Amino acid sequence: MKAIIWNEWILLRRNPWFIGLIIVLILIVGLTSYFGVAETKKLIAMEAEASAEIRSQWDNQEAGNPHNAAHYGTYLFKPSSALTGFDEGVNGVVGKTLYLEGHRQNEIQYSEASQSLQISRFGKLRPALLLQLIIPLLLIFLVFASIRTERESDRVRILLVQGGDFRQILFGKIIAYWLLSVLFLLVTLSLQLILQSEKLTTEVILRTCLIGVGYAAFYWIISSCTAYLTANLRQAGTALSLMLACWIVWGVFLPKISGTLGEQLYQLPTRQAFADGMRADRASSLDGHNPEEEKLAALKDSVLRKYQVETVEELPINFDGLLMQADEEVGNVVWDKHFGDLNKVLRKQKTFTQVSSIPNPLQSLQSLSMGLSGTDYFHHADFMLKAEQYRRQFIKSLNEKHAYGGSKTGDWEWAADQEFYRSLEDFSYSAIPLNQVFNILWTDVMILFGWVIGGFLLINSSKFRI
Amino acid sequence: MISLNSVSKQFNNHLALDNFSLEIPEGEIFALLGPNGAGKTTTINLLLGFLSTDSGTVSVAGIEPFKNPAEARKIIGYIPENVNLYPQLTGLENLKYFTQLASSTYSDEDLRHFLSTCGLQKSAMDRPLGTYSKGMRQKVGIAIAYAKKAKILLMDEPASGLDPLASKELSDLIRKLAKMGTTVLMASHDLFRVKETADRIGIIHQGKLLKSLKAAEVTANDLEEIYLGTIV
Repeated sequence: MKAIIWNEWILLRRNPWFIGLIIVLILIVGLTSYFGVAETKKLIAMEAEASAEIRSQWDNQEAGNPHNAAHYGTYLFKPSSALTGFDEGVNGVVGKTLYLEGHRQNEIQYSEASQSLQISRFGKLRPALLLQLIIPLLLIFLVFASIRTERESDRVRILLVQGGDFRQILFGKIIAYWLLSVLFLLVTLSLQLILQSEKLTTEVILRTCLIGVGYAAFYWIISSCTAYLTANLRQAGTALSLMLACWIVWGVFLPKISGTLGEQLYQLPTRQAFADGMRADRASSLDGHNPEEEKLAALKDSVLRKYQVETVEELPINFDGLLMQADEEVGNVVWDKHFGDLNKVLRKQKTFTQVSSIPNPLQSLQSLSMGLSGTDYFHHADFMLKAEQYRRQFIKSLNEKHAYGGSKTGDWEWAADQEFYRSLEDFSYSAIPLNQVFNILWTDVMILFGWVIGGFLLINSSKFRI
Repeated sequence: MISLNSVSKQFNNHLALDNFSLEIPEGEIFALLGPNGAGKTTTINLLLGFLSTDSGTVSVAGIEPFKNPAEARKIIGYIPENVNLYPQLTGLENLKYFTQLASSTYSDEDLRHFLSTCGLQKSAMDRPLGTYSKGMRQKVGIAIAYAKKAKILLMDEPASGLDPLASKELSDLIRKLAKMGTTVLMASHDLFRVKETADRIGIIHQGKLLKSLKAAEVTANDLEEIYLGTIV
């Protein structure tokens, strides 16, 4: 086996076309890694700068009414994960800036895709794209050429007569090219780590290593499938056509088919229908700015009873603050219902996409790569959820200050001091921990694992067609 | 050493071997002489264990090749019409790789000795095989079998396309190996090369062994007459 592997490497080393191609690929991966990491660093710095600026504006605002501050709101910037430079995932299209305010939940805005036609159409050139599409293509050609030459030159007979077992020969060739692709993978991932060495954490290193395992598994699948088909089909050329067809179907058609099918099976409401539904439910619940509303009677009665007074004007607190919070909580229920339903549908779509990738290991790899890079839909949804939790706490703090800060009902001129605004905690986002990421990605892991085992079994059951 | 007993082999509607029998004792060079499609390559493939018989038995040194190919191939060397080894590797590297496949470990000095014994010039050993003539590649192929210490050498049209000098060198080499105890079966349609190389010549046509002659007992002209008289 060692001799077969070594022999393949010597043959490659003496092939000037291959050496040229490898140099070009290393240059491309080096440049994409550099630009990816540089762009991510720039983004992280911009996010930090913008967050600091927004916080500074918040901290330095004049003393003012908390409810006005709730309407004034604040901005959150979705933090970029350290591995965004490796795999952009959905980050290019979902937006980065979230405006938080009282009474309503806003959508995240300003995606790069919305501002760049090229990104919206093609996505960004990231190392992940090269590793997912170009390296497998190279592997298909190399494994195919190696086995086809043995067959067509009739060298395979000499190899077999010399004592080479055909399975051993196939495994030797697969391992030779697989190790080569793994070496390329290691170079790419090491570059990622080296280029951002100042920000490395154990989690980032661990995630990078696991990404490497996922890609290595995919390369094994590609190598073994190509080897099996080339060795077993009567016409070796058919094997190349089949594998290229797989490459196109896996990379282009199946993801679109499963995506479209998922959207058809689990339909999302249109933006208009969604907004109308929210508005209708919101309208049928209470309006915090209208104290005459019937639905507020119960709240008003309980507060008056609690403080043993007859009118809200007699209360030692500001009833308007309580009304605002009550309104907020009703709004939260409406949001939870509608966004909860929306998220359920999105999760069903994502799960469908994951399961439908059983015939498409590339889709599982893409899901794994985005998930481990922290750039998939689940990470985005997690950010949105944590941002909403923060918004609720933020608005609640303002409403409570309005209610219990010392003002009386109807006193909209009362102002909370600067100290209060400074005391409100800033938003701090921690991405989904790695162990939870695996709960989300286990389907993809199992599919890739199944394909790897399948690759072993295929080669073990194959015969060299002579 | 080599035995085929009443062997028949059919491919679709074509009967490649028809009740074919052949015995080759140890150390003999037997040449199967016949036109294209006569059944020569099928015979070799049966002996290599790449094909099974429809009827009859095949054995090499008592081993049935199709049932036990790994054991049979341990003692067989095979030289195809075109020895297409790795053109990017030198003659020495090719020999090294193929001997490693046969689980043999030789020093470079030993490998050079094998190549030299098989007639390859020292200056050519470190050149890529892609720069070799066909005759030189055949020599490397034979060196592979020689280094393997093959008891049986199966050669399929080994002299085809060789110039007269290279062809003569190949004959000498085969005879040299036979003297060392190697049993040789060569398939060919080159009357004169066969006459010069083989101990015994079998004329095969349409899957049948029609005649078996001792090479020493016939002249080249006789052989041509017998051959043409047999197959026409």
